[in-house]
Amino acid sequence: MFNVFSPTGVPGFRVRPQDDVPGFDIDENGWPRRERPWSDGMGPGSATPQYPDLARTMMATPGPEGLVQPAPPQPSDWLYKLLTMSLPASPGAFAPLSGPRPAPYGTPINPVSFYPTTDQNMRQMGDASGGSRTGQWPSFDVPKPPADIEARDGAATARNAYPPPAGREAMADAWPQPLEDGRTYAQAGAGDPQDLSGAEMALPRREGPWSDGAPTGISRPQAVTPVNCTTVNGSLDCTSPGGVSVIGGVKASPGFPERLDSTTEDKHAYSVPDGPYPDSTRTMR
Amino acid sequence: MINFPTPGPTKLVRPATPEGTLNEATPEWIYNLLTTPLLMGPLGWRPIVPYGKMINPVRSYLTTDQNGRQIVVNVTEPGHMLHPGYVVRYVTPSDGGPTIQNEGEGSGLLQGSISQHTPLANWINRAWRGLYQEHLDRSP
Repeated sequence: MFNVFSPTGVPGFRVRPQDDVPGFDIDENGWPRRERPWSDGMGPGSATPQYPDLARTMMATPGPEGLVQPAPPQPSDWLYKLLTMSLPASPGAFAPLSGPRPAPYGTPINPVSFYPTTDQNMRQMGDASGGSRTGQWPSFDVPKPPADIEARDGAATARNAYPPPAGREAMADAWPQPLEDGRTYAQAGAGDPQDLSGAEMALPRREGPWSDGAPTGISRPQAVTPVNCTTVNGSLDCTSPGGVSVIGGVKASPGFPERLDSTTEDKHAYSVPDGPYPDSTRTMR
Repeated sequence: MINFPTPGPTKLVRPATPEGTLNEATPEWIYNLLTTPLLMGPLGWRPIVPYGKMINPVRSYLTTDQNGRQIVVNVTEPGHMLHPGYVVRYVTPSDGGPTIQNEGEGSGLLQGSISQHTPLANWINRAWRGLYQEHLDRSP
């Protein structure tokens, strides 16, 4: 039998209501009844809890019926401020562009390429009937831009002007222009190696402009002599694709092959005119 | 044409001579890009290639053709990405003015049969185009 009121002082449980030993202090309904701070191991005069927010959260508040019940969990101040802080509004995909804000993802940056230009003399894109469709959008499956983007056509054109026209021309000039049949000059030059002499390998067999865009007849070399490079006693003797013979005085560098002609694997020959220069009187210092 | 036999940086290009002059043949804008400090190393920013280093060396010869006219021949040195190869530069007259002909051949991989199917070989060939005009524009 378990004697909870043992007066003998022997070790054991000694439980009394309202005593000062640590334990549960609840009323008959099971709710906490103590109004003083919970024992937290602090000194008697230190009734202030260490975490006021947490303590306030867990502090018992009187219920509507006079009962003491725990308050529902509430976020702390910093968490509350964080959650309730108003975030900047994100513009939609077609929000009007105003101020220095960058265009959001999805906004057409260069509508010039897709939408009618301000040139009223040009037929609009997609106008197969030839009739005037001023004020109508071409029937492309692209989203219609907002009005202010079209109004900012000048600004869009300015953005579209990068790289500058001169740079664009240079870039376009750096790439081979397609042949009339759609092939590149490089493809045309390497089309059928069997019927090409060494001098003409990789050079276009056509009467059109050369691969570098130079007009025919001005700078086309006389490609009549098969290319030939021979190293004899360390001296390089070559005949250029245009038939110019390099006579003596040119030393072959180490690694230069004895022969460099049409039989050489991966041999490549080309001719690139530089000019003509009408102002030939200018000289460089 | 003799004074600037390659499209390399002006400071690294010297006139062609009968004995041959070692010159840089990398187009100037590419050379400048490679020598611009773009890489971050332990000692700070550094370029891919230090300025002054030969990237695509050639030897420029001043010689004559079979007709006795002066021509310039650039012969690649080992280390040139188009080695072995050479380029002959000579002038032909025309109604519109003199034209510098740049003719070359070689067996470098970047201009070989594989590259012929790409714009690369043609792009490399075009390094000569407008070269003289560039030099004219830069001359005082």
